[in-house]
Amino acid sequence: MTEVMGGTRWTVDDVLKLAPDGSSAGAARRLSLSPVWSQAGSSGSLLWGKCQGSAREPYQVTIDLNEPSFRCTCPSRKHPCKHGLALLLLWAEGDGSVAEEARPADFAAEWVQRLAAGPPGAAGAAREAAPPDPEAQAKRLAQRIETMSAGIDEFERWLFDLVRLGLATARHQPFAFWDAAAARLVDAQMPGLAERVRAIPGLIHAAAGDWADRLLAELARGYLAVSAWRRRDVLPDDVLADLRVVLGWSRRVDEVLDRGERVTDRWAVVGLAREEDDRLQSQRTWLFGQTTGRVAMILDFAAAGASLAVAEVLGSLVEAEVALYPGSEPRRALFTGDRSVVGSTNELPAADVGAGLDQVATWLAANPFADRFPLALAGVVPVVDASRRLVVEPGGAALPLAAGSDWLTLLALSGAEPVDLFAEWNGFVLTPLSVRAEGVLVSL
Amino acid sequence: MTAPAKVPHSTTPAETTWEGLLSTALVGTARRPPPPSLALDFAVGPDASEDAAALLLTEAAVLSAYRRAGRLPGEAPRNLPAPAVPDDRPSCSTTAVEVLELSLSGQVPIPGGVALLAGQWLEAAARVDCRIPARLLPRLLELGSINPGLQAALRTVVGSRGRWLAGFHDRWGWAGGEPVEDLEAATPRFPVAPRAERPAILEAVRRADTTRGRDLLASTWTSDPAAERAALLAVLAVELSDGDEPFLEAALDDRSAGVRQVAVDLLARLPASRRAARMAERLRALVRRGDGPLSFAPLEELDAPGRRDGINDAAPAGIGVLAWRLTQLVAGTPLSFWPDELGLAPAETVELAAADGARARSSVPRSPLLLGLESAILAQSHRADTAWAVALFAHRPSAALIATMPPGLAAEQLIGLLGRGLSPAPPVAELFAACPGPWPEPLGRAVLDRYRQLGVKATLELQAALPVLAARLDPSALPLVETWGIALTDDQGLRRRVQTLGHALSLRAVIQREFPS
Repeated sequence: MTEVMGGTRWTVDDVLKLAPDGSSAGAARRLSLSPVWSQAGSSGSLLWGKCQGSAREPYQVTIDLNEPSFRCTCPSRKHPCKHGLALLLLWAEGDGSVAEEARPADFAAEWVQRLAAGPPGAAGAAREAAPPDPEAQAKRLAQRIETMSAGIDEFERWLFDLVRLGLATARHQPFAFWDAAAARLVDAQMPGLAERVRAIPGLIHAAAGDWADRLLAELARGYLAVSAWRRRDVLPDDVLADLRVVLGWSRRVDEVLDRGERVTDRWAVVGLAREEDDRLQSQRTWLFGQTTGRVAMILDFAAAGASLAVAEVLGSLVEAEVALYPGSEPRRALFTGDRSVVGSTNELPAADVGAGLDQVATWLAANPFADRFPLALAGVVPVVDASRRLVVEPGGAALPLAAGSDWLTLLALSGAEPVDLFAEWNGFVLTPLSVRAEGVLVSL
Repeated sequence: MTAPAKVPHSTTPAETTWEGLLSTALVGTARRPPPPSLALDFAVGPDASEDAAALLLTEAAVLSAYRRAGRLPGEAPRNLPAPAVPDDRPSCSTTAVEVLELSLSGQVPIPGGVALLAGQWLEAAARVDCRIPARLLPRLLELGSINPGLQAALRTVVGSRGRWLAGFHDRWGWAGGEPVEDLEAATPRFPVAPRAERPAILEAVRRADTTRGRDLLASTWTSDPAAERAALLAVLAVELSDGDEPFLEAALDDRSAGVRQVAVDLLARLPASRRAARMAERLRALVRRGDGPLSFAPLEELDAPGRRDGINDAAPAGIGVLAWRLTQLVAGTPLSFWPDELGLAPAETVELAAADGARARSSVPRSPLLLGLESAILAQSHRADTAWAVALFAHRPSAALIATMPPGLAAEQLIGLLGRGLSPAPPVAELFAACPGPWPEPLGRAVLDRYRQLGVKATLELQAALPVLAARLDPSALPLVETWGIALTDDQGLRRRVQTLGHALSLRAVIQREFPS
């Protein structure tokens, strides 16, 4: 997202990046397309509108683009809520449905006055668009850290309670229990941690007989984040960067472009993982550097229906420079500028299972929070053994496949003959992304 | 853990401690203290906290990282599945595969949906017998599970890899198993095969060699239970010939009514059969000469031989028992009876039979004569003059009749019918559907003209006809369809639907080009 001043139009992607999670983004997108809006307007850096929700009175939504800061009269715990995001989307579309007006609506003006009167980080519509004020920035940072620290303290108490009462009790908690804890983490500006907490019920369900093992590991990892946060002043930069990813404290693109390590290479596109929830799609593009041997992952988001910024074709050789996000290997990256497809490959940088797991151990030693590793396996066969789905090295090692993976296509491609496979490994199960069968690379 | 670790749990201190932590965590630190600490010098830890929960979580954090990093893979099972038999057929063209994927994706809206185009593609590919990319197999097998009509073509197209893959999914059983190509292997299997498979085996043998098929049926006939006998006997409909007559004639004496009914239905298709001669004999005795051109006395007495030939008194509602007996006699009599014995040409016969209906009481929709004649014409279509079908079609057009005609004749008859004018009604689409495609140019033009001229009056009929047009029109009719679509300026809904018809034809043109017949 570019630094935004009042008056500069945002793009839809800028807006969606503010969403606390995928479902908010999707809901906002739907709302922005629905005829529920009235009195939508803008003036200076202020946006406002009324949105007819499930309550009798329409929700009053106000946004100050300078922060940006949001206010909505809805009861949602999420921040920003879907109404705020939807109003911002409406405005970003620029189709005139958010009219330019000379004076803010009463409810919007009232909020601005209250903000201006209140002590912390007071931002007003009247404030002139100015270059980033270092003092204000430092203040905002301090405030964010304070919010997060309070959230961490609360999260720790929550973890302690779970462990005191026992996992057997926790197991039977309804989804709402985990969801409420996740919502508090979102309020504390730690959406990454929130996402993991929200995933726990699914984890318990999917892991079946293993649930206690997986749940304890997950809670322990959460506690590791708590401990690391407390020691953030003495942690090395890489570890701090990894911690930020776990917590969900995102980095601005320009920060990565300005300060990230640059690597130029001929990158082979070895795996594409697409996820789509509701109205938001995300894609992980795994790159393998032909000269440097480095692995990089490009993460992209887009609204459903929109095209992804990075839509590389599996097997392409892309000549490009990337900027790496700070943190441990394997690292997230951004293309810094132009890239050109200079050819294609049908090869995967595949190794045997033992070598792959050794590499994972090395990565884990540097970043114990990591839970997604690229793994390229040579000559493996998909088999089903007593209802467990595995990929095996004939006469050797076996790794279990994730429940949701496209097992039948994998079988069809291999025909029980050995194939090379590129997959994401989470430490427990494998999610195959691409297969090299009969000399051809195929996306799963 | 899902996979057994290579190293037994109990031998590593990390595992022992982890299990200890886990059992404490399960009941809660409020009820049970954590196990003694590993006494590792943890880099992270509670700041002099004595809290049991903090202690447990700290140790679990470190240990779970150890365990994940030190995780060993499981062992491959000793017995790996047998690989699929290699498929050495030539592969389909890239363009053909692209069209198939486009059809399967449903991204191009087509009248008749995904199954229509995919069906055309699969039939063409089955004819050419080429190999498709393995990644498409799951989608095609799934498509076949939803659309049983596509299964025959799919069994060929998916090849050995597809048959192998079908064994991994319950719903794909129809594609599994070896095809009955090897008759030498199938024949000994026939007596012992599961009940559901036996008709398929018999049918395959029958198609390859009609006599051998009948002999195979006879080989287990006396020991097969009645329900199986009926299902197996019905397979003789495949390549039915006069050679089957003795076996069918004998089956008229079967213990089971179901078997007898199958035999009656099959014998009705054989005008040279002894049963047909007996039916003609009965009818001849009832002719009232000199009492109008076509008049019959009632069959007052239904004797045992008559019952053996399948005549019954179970008249449909609205038809009297005596009339129904006459209908059955006419249906079982060879069509040659009318010109040979009464000197009536097909058209005359149909006309007189219809006039007889007009004379009859109004509650009966058609005369017993016409009803019987209709079923005789349908049953004997392969062995009778096509003039019969043409004569009946002129009087009472039906999809079943069109289906009995050779394609050229069917098209000609439909063009004639359209020329005489036909009020719009959805069943008209069924008439068109009965004529196999791709249609000759004049029929395509006549049908398209119909819809252009009728406009909104044919909205309902067109809705039913669009999938038929998409499947049966020759792709060369595309310009006509496009002209029609462009002219539809004031009906955007219809225009879009006509455009989807255009899409279907364009894609079929590609299929035709990629799989030349």
